[in-house]
Amino acid sequence: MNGGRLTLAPDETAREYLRRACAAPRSLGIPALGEADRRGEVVELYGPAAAGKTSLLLQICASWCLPDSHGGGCRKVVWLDCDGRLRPSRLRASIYAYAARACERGAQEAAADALQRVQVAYCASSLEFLCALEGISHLEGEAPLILVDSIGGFFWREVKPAEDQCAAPSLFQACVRAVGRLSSRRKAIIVCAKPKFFRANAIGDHREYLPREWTLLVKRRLVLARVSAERLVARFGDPQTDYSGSFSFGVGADGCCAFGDVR
Amino acid sequence: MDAHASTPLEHVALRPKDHALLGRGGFRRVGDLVGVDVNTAASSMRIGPDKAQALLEEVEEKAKPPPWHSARELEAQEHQRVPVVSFCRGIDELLEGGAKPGKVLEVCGGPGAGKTQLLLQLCVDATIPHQFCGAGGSSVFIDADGSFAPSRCAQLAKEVAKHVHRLARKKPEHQAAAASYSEDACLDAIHVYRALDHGGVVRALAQASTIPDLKLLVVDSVAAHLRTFEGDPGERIRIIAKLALDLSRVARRGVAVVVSNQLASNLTSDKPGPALGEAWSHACDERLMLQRDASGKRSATLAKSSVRAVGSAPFVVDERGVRDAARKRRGTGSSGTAASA
Repeated sequence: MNGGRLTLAPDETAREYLRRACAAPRSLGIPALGEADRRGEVVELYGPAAAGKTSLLLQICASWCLPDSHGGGCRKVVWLDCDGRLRPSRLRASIYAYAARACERGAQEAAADALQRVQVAYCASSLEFLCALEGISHLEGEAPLILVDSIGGFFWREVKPAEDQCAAPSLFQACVRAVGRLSSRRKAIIVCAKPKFFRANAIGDHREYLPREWTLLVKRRLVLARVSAERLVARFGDPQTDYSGSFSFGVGADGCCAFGDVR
Repeated sequence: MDAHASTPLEHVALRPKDHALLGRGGFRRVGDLVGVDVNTAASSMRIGPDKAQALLEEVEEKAKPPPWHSARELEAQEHQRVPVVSFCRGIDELLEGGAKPGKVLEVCGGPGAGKTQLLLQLCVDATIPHQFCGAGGSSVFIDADGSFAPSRCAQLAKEVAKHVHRLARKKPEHQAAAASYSEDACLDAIHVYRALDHGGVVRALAQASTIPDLKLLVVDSVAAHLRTFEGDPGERIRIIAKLALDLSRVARRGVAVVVSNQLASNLTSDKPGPALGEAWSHACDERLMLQRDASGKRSATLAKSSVRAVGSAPFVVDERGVRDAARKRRGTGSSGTAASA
């Protein structure tokens, strides 16, 4: 395995390769999370329906796949669509809006170029999800940004695993281990949307329903909630300690916008 | 070794005895079966060649990794798909053209709001030929709560056929397509399945793939059998998640999926909300809330959408079907005739 080492891409000049190799590690493209290196982190976006989970995934995707000239990292992104709801036109609109905010000139061309760096796989079952993760772990070169929308559904679709120790290991647990390998060995950044299934005591509360193996993997969790038709809030932090940070943002047809503090 | 070849065979959904046979033959991973000779596999598993061949083919089919596509390819495919219109311009504008292929639209509302009427209208509209900006295919109506009315469906089909023939008079080049389209042709393209329990809904979804040229699948309603579920809450979520998966599998074949849902009281709010709770809310791409006020005026509100802000549009239900409220026919009331939901 190549770990996190960069390799020369086809049709890439030495100047472009050096610029890419010397570039600072990419942040997630969400201003409130800062510019910290997130390599090897598993980040969870948790919230009810229409809380902005997919919108934030699109924002992160745009910040990674766009070229440097338009505020991006010019890096590969892999989108694992486990709910079958990714809309390519929405992806393009989000990428274009991100590019246009950075530099209006050439934004269309930059967005079209960025779409080529996004690979999508529709996973209809836990096994397809596992196969896709195994496929990513065998990719040459730098591990891509991995976006999963969403992680929670497969857990409920799987037949309840048997209690006795002689039964085959749960397929979902195998998927969690594959995610763990990608984060620890390939230093991949994995951002997963996790739907909220149970009513919590207060807005923004998190109630875990996935196995403990998954909970231990998550290094950062954003708990999302909609406070009005135009604004959403996110509380984030280390799930093992507390959610010390927060920010608010808006979501429109062009994706996330107006990031700010929680009033 | 191929990427997915390292997938353990124990994770492939096979019968226990098939797992035992593969274990006996020393096959642990999918990659162990790649390129293996059938006779060699048969002798190591101590079974006949025919059985070994069938088992190898089953593993290859079930352990297929998902194909990868670039986002650009998917966008090009998306542009080629024709949405199913509702004949109400306001609702079609809210939905950016109509019920979109590949997506799940939820229509939610109280009793008499117009959910079934809208679903019937979409079923009929899905059969409009391509030449007249229709989807030009067939539709499936899964009737879970006994609301399907054949006479009403025939009435709507008659109106749509008249509409197509009116358009053909202005477009002589499409006369042939219009000549082959009639009320009977429209009704022949609508397949109705009466689901008496949740299992019936699941079976109907599985069989939907056999319908030729399917453009629209409608379920009326998803909540009919699930609201009376009396089991473990985790089991209920499991059933809902499986239903959502089945609906999205149908949608992925380029079919517009529209489901109706009822309203239920909400413990955290004064207003009733969609039934089936948080688990179901994640299943739909868009949610259209239908309301009918005390005076009988109906409106549709886009409550959940990934591409546009929420909005609202008035509509009426009359003898022609679902129409814009602004385009009232002479002699009818503000909410049309008393066609109930």
